Amino acid sequence: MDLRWWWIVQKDLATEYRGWNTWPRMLLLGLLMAFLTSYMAIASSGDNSRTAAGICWLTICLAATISLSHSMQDEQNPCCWESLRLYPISPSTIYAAKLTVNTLSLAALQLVVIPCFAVTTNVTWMSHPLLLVVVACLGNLAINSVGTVAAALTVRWQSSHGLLVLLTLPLLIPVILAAAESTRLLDHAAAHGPWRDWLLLLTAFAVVYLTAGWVLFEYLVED
Amino acid sequence: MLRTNRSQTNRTLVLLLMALIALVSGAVFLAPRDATMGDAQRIVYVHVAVAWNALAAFVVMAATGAAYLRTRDLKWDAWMHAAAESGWLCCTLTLVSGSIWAHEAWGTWWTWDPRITTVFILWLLYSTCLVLRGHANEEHLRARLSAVVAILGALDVPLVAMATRWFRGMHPVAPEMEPRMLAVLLLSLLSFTLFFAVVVYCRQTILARRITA
Repeated sequence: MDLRWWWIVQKDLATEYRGWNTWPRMLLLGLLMAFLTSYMAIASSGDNSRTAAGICWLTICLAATISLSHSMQDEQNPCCWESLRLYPISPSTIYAAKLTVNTLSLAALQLVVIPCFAVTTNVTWMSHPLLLVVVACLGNLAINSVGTVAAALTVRWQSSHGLLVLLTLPLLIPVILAAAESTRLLDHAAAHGPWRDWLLLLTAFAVVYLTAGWVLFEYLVED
Repeated sequence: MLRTNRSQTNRTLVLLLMALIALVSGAVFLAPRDATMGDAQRIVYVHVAVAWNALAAFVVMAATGAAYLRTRDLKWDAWMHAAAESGWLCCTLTLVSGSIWAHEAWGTWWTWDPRITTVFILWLLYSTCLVLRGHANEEHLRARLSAVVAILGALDVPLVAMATRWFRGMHPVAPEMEPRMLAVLLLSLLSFTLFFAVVVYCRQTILARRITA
């Protein structure tokens, strides 16, 4: 090996320096993960339940990006998207269909992941099954409402790898925090108090994101 | 012609910046010293003004984003881009000045207070918008992406504004102020808003020229 390896290193560094393609994305993703994990781990100051709820919802959110990306990737095959657009339905109907599939996929994942987290971290979420289902459904809906829109946007991008996570994660931070806090406070669920506040916030995000996704999708798939 | 316009814009901005610095420093020294926090309290005059501008810039982004999606006119994207850049700067200044204030008032540079957390989320949204813009080669795709982040992210603005009331945080909410202090704060708010409005206007003019060129 001679110094020619350095030419290739120099070439790659120069390409990155001119285009700034990777480093800003990496930095932003690093900051996002640092923010979320430190909020969940350090701010909880030894509260096992908060850490578990936070990491559980972060896992769900990251896993959702696989189904979200896949649901739109299939339409990228030659003529698939054009054929779908020729079908006599409104873009909102396409959005509703994609959202339903993504919601079902994530619900299946939640059915496995949430009990696993509850069992392995010794928390008592499972003693409130009905309330847990409500929180899980609202979180699921909020994640997929934004995710479906983001997937439709990023799929036509040449370098879409990793962009879906980068686009959805900042928008979903309030949802992850609200869902994690609603899950953690299940033991103290009451008509008044912090659990109700977090659940209301989660509901507000789910409703607003669903409505916004419904309205925006039409403008995003126009051409 | 283009060069003359650009130098005029630069001259206006430099003049405005100098006026702003003179106004704020004058105002800061005119304001009475806080009995509890001393001179450290003067950070508030800058902190509140940049925080207000960070929130206002995101609202501008959301509104111009919606206008772009309706009309598909790239002039709205230029407004969105300009607002995103100055909003990011204001948001960064908010976090930095807030952190310095927190160190003096609470003895810590950072705490997970609801308002600080929501402002940091706003900063992440600004950063996402700018990073994504830098990676889209096609201008309409870039505009659409920014519009979606701006419209959906605008939900964080009321959260920032109401965070302390809704989630009972440590961050002060409209504390009692002496009339002279209040006057300085209002003056600072007005001058910063005017300055950033001019910055956004000048920047969007440059960006719009690039589109038409």
